[in-house]
Amino acid sequence: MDAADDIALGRKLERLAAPAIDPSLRDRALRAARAELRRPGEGTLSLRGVGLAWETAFAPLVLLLAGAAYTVGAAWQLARIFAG
Amino acid sequence: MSPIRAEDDAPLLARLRAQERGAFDELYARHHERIWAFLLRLTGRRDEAEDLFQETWVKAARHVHRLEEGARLLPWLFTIARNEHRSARRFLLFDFRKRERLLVEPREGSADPEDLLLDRDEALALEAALQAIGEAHREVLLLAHVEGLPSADIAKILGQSDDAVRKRLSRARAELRAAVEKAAEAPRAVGRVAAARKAGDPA
Repeated sequence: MDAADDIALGRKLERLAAPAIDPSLRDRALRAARAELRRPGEGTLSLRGVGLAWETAFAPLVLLLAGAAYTVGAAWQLARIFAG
Repeated sequence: MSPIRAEDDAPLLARLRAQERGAFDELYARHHERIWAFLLRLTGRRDEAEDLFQETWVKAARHVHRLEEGARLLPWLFTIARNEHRSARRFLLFDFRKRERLLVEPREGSADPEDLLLDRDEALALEAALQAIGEAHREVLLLAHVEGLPSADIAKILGQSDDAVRKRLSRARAELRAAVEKAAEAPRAVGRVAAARKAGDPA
């Protein structure tokens, strides 16, 4: 490994510009943090939070309901076939 | 980014510990841009970074009263941001979403040649290479070089020894350099094929 290359690469990384933050995100995050300071523990609703809740709780429930509906439907069809 | 010395944050830390009004706003004003840049580059996705950014600051607000004397604010914030990111990743067993090609607009450079930012093409190539390498390597490079944190702070943030951080950093630089070279090679290869085709060579 070339130490001079490493130093040059490090210098380049140091000179990367900071990506601009969307002002609405900047204000929203500060508001959420201030709300947390005022009312600790109440939490905030975020897109990721909603996504995680969906993934961890609602998605299995929906799959279970869909599976149950499919089973009932299939049983109904079979019953109709055998009943003539 | 210029490094922030512990003594720069000491008066603010005292105000935060005293739960002084406005102290948290000052903490936010001072450091939010660096936390945003870190999360955006770490995740490679704007939507994910936005959520993590907000949650990092909510978590910071929740725990700010627990800051101990002598605590270093920026490493503390980076630790929260990194933990939020790791926690989010645990839920994504299979993540097929593609990383964005981060478009980071170059800012106006200062007159000092040492402070001049990279030109647009070079910066974009480096950003792309950063997104192409492994996450563990990306985070250590971001903390060490982009954020300019000393290795002792990085070791605390990553929960590793100084020695382990130095080794990881060395491997990370090697991977990044390979990614940069690969990215530079790709257009040249395309150019060679196009030139060969133009000249009637099927290669």
